[in-house]
Amino acid sequence: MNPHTRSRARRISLLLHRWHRRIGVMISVFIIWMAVSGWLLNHTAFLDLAHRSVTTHLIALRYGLNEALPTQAFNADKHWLTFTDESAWLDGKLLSTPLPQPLGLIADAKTIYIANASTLLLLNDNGALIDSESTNLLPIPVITRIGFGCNGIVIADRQKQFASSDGVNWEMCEGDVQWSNAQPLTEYQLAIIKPLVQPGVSLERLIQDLHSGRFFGAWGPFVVDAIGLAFVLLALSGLWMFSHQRKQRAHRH
Amino acid sequence: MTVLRCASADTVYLAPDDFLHQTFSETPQPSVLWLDQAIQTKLTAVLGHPYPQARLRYWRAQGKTAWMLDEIGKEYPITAGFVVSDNHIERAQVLIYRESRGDEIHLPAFLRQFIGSSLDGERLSNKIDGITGATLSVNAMQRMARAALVLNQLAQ
Repeated sequence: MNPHTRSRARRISLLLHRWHRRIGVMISVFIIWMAVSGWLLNHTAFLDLAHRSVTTHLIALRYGLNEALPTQAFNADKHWLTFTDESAWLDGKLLSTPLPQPLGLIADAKTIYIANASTLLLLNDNGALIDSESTNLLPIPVITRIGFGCNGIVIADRQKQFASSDGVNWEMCEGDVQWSNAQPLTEYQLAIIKPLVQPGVSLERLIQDLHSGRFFGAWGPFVVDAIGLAFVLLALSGLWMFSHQRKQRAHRH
Repeated sequence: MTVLRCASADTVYLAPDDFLHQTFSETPQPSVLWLDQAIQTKLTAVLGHPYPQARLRYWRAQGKTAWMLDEIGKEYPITAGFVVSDNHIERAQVLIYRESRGDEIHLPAFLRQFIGSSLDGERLSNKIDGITGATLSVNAMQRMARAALVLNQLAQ
C-alpha cells in the first residue's frame, strides 16, 4: 500500500471511529428501549399485557378516548348494574365476565341473573360466575327482556317468554312478569362509578405503539426507521473498522 | 392499572346446539355438575387453574357425555365441544374461536388426533402434534380435552 492510500484509509478510519461513537451514544437509549420493549412484546401472554390497561389523562388525550360516564342502572334487590359501551359494573365492581350491552338484572336470595341479547350470566352474591349460557342453548334465539314471573327468572324475545327456576330447564311462561328496566343512575351510584370509568388502552397496544413509533404520530414510524438505519450504519462501520484493523495488524507483522 | 377486556371477533365453526344435534339422535335435557372444591382441585391439575365457573352443564345419553368448555388461548376464550364415551374422547370440535390467530385448530386433521385419547395420569394418551403459530390454541385444546375426560369421570 502506498503512503497516500494508507493516509487516506487512516483518515476514513478516524472519521468512522468518531461517527461510530457519536451514533452509538445518540441511539444507545433507543437500542435499550427497542430491546426491552421487544422482550416485553415477545412475552405478552405470560405478562398478560393485553389485559392490563393504562388509564391516564395523557393516554386518553393521545388516543382520543372519551370519558363517557354511564347514565343508567338496572336495580334488583340490593344489587345494581351500570354500563358503558366498553364495560359493565355490578355493585360498583367491574363485571368479572365481560357482557356488552346488558338488557337487565334480576336477583334472588342466591343468584344474580344478567342478560344481554346473546348471553345469560348467573353470578353468586359476590359477583363470581356460576354459569354463562349462550342463546344457542336457550329456548329463544335472542333475548330482548329479562324479568321475574312464573315462579322464576323469565327471558323473552318479541314473541315468547320462558321461565326457569335454575337457569337450566326452561318452560313457556304466560303469566305476568315484572321486567327489569333501566333507571337513571342515583347520586350515590354516580359517586361510586365516576372514579372507575377511565378510558384506557391495553399495555400491549401502548408498548407496540411506542416500539413502532406510532405513539408519536405520523412521523413517529419514520423516526424509528431512521434509528433502524443508524443501527445498520453502526453495524457496517463496526465491520469496516474491524476488518481495517485486522488488515493493518497483518500488514505490520 | 385496571383489567380491560377488549371486544373480540367471534368465529362460530359449529353452533353449540348443532354440536348436540350431531352428537345425539335426540338431544337430552342438560345435567348440571357443581364444581366444588374437590372437583376444582382435580381440574386445576389438568387445566393449570380452576375452571372459572361454579357449575357446568353437560349432556348424557346413549352411553356418552358431551361437554362444552371455554379456555383462553392467548387473550380470548376458545369454546370447544368434546364427546366422551367409555373414558375416551369420541369427538373434539372447535365451536367458537375468538383469538386473532391460531384458528387452524378447527381443522379436522388436527382434531382427529384427539379421537380415542384417554387420560394417562394427567396427560392425554395420544400425542398431539403442534401447529406453528397456533401453539397457545393447541395447548388450550389439550387442556380442555383433559378437563373433559376428568369431568366425565366425576360425572359418572
